[in-house]
Amino acid sequence: AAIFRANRDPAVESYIVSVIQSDHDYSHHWSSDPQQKSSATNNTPIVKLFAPQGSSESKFSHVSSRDTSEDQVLDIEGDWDDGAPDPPYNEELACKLMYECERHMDFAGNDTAAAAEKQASEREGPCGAVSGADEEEEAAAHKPDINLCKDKWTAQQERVFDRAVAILDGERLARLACSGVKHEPARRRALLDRSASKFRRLLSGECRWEMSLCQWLHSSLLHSLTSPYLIAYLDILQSLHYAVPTLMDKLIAPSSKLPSSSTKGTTASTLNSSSSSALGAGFPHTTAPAGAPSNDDNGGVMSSSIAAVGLSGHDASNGPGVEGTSSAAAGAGVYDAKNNSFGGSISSLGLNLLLKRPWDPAMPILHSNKPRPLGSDSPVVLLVPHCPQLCAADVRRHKNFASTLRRVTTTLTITVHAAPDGSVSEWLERTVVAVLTKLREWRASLRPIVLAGWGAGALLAAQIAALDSSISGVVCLSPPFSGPADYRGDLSNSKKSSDPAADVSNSDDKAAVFLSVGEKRVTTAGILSAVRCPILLVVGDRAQNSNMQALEELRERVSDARLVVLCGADNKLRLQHNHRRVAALTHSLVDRCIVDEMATFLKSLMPVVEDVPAGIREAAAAAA
Amino acid sequence: MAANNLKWKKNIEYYWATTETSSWAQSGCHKGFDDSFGGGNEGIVDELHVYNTATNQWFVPPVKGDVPPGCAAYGFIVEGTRILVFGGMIEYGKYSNDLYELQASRWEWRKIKAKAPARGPPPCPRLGHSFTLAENKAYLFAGLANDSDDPKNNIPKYLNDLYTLELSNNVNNLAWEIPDSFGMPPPPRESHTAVLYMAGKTNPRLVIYGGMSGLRLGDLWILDIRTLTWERPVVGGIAPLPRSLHSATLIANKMYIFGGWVPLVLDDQKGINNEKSEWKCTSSLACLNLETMEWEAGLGEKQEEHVPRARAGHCAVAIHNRLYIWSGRDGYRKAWNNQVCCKDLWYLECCVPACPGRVQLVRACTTTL
Repeated sequence: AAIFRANRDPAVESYIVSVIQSDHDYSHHWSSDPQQKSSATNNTPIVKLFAPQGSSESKFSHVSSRDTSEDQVLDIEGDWDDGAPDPPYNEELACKLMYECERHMDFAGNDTAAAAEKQASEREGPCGAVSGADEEEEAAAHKPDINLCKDKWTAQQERVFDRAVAILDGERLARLACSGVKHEPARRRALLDRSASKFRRLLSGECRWEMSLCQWLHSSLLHSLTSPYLIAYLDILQSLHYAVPTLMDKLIAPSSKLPSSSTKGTTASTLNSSSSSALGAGFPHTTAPAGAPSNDDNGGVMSSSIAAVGLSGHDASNGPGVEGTSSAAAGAGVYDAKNNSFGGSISSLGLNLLLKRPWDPAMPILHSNKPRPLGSDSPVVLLVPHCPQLCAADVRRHKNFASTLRRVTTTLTITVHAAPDGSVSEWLERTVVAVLTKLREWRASLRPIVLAGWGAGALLAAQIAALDSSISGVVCLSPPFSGPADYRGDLSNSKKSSDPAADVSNSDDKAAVFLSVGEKRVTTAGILSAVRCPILLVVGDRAQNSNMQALEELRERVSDARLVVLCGADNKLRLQHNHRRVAALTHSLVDRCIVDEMATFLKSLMPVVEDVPAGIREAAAAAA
Repeated sequence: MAANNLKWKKNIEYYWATTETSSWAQSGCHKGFDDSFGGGNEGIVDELHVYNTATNQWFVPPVKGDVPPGCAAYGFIVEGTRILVFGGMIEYGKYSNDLYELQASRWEWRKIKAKAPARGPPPCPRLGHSFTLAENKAYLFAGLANDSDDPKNNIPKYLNDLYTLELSNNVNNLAWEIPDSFGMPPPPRESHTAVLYMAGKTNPRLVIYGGMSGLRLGDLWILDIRTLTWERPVVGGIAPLPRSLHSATLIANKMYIFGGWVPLVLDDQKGINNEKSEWKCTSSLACLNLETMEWEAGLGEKQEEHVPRARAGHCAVAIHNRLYIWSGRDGYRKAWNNQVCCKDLWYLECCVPACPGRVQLVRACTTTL
């Protein structure tokens, strides 16, 4: 027998090896635990979305979920051009969106930018110096310059300003680094989100949302920044406005809306003109009262502690959005006439509109490429709420999610307002009643009914499904496996904490804990394994409140639980900046992928139209 | 039933005793059982799954003996109640040349040491070969070997060697042979298919179709078992796209080709099969009439709802007149680094079912009651 060598050309050979690898890609088993191998499981394989190319998990392992160090060194030497698949979005349209801010700046460039530049150059400030400089000088030139009348500033003002400039500088450098590379829009979006969350952390941590200080920072930045930095700053403002609209509105368009209770108004106003000679002995930060909680978007559950606000800076673009605790006593006359001209310039340029919605490179393609409806007998999806009132960013996300889902099949959103006394148990009872009422309404339609929920809502949905046999499926989006009180993933070890609601600080988790109190099955695994209908679990592998091992064990016991894992997603199924950057994804695309997975699941629940069984057909054929 | 209105049917009556999905789980049938073993998607599986087509149930028999390590892309033949398994991938870059026998009556595995041929070495470790039973002889043809000893350093070597194994001997006396074949042998390949076709009553032929040798192949070769002569027949009709990792099943005198990797034919027609082509999985069904040597028309890729989705590395088996398709994978979502493993079972009624016997009728009536 003749034996041939396939080919001796190394290039061709490596290509052949890669084809063989993809043809015969029998990789390792996900539960390659030798003990478990013998048991025949009825698990469907995990669907992994956005797994890093080359499947090297270590690629991301060094990236901590939250880098607390405020250094502006961005990882811009990463592998830009490999890994990510071809963008699913229209690159051209996305670029157009990406440059929206810049176009607006150019449009308005004649007055503001030029004025700012002029001013900056007059003062020979740090940002002025970088305006015409090349990249290297820019990198070197972000050191604070004393010439910018900084001798009049307080130490805190100086610190805040320096950090803001550093963030902008990092953003600018990242921008230059990623300009022109593949998937630029998506990558820039991810980088921008990171800068925005840093900026938010600055505002919430260093400034503690002290409005006078924030507004001072805003106006100083507007004064001193040169055009490319101003663009970056506007982009950041835009992203932050999406996450914390109320606070950003206060920051941008201040004076009249704020209660004029400050006695330090005049001091504050003098502070803000950088040429002023009077200085901040009585700077509002030191004297103004810390302020009562005035604005609480989280259903009256969140405390007003400043620490909580600090936590909220975790992810700016889609963060938990705790907006409370702004200082009600912030200075009224913070903006003097001169600064108002800048604040005014933003609104007059139509930038207000621009700030209202952050650009998303995937938007055009998502609009033009809607999911396909499943048909008239598709399952009815009931979206079970997970907390009385969502924060602004979550409201928008859930609205978008529901509207995308509505295109696939009939989707009903159940809204239950918070109980007057604010008690979670009361609200939960109302929710269950509302869901059961809807169930009764829709049972007559003879269509399969599917319950879906996020977080604690997923547990609620699962528990209702365990009680009600008419439900054909449950979709659990990131069900929490551990609450603030204890770990609830283990089926055997179901210890009850004595008073689980005592140390709950988040309404989501409170609901989850309530679910477990007084019930026989207190664990998430217990709730899920009581469900008799198919379950779709969507979890992020970086979620702090879930555990892949527990999920796998759970799936062994549950009759039909499908698992979709979003690589790099946290417990709200948000992909981290770095994952999004490397995979060139945006949040909207991620949500769309979740909807697609749900559609696949829903489709599997639809009755298959099947004609008579084979036996009868054969009999009929014989009779004929 | 005319060939062009064949209808796929998703087998929904099944009860999944287990649904370990696998790709390239080979299957054979005996007494109405469809056996599938091993395969791999998220790992290589070493379980044996049996599907009873009469009751539509899967079950996992308790196996004993020298259970072979999990392997994928192996050769599989069924002779009476015994099943022989040869070669396959044990782990990436590491292939096997072991021969195992499973006695299906006892579910007992046994490793067989076949003697080396009188002249030449025994078959080298390989995957993607064909292993076909013809008149008590197993015919092993072609496959892919790794030219280096290091599994990580994969030097692919496509083979086109032919070995036979006489099975009528005692199990302890099995020996490989290198037969003298005549004519021009087919070029090297792997992931092709081979079916045995009886031309007339006494003229068995081995029909080799498709495969991969750096590019997907669409050629057809016939080995006359009696004379061991290779022949490249002239085939009429419109040939389907070249492919590999497909399945070929003989029902009556027609060879049904389903699925596999085919070249991605672009609109601008860069020309298929050039180097570094793009490939995709297909759900198309082709049918070659081996009597007339013509591809049947009208079986192209249909965009219908009730068609198995595109897949490769699935297994197909004929039971009576039905073509059963199980498992397989689709690499279409390569963009997300995610190959989809299908775990559905379909069958295709290829002919009008034969008249049922009385027992069948009574059974059908009682079950409907």
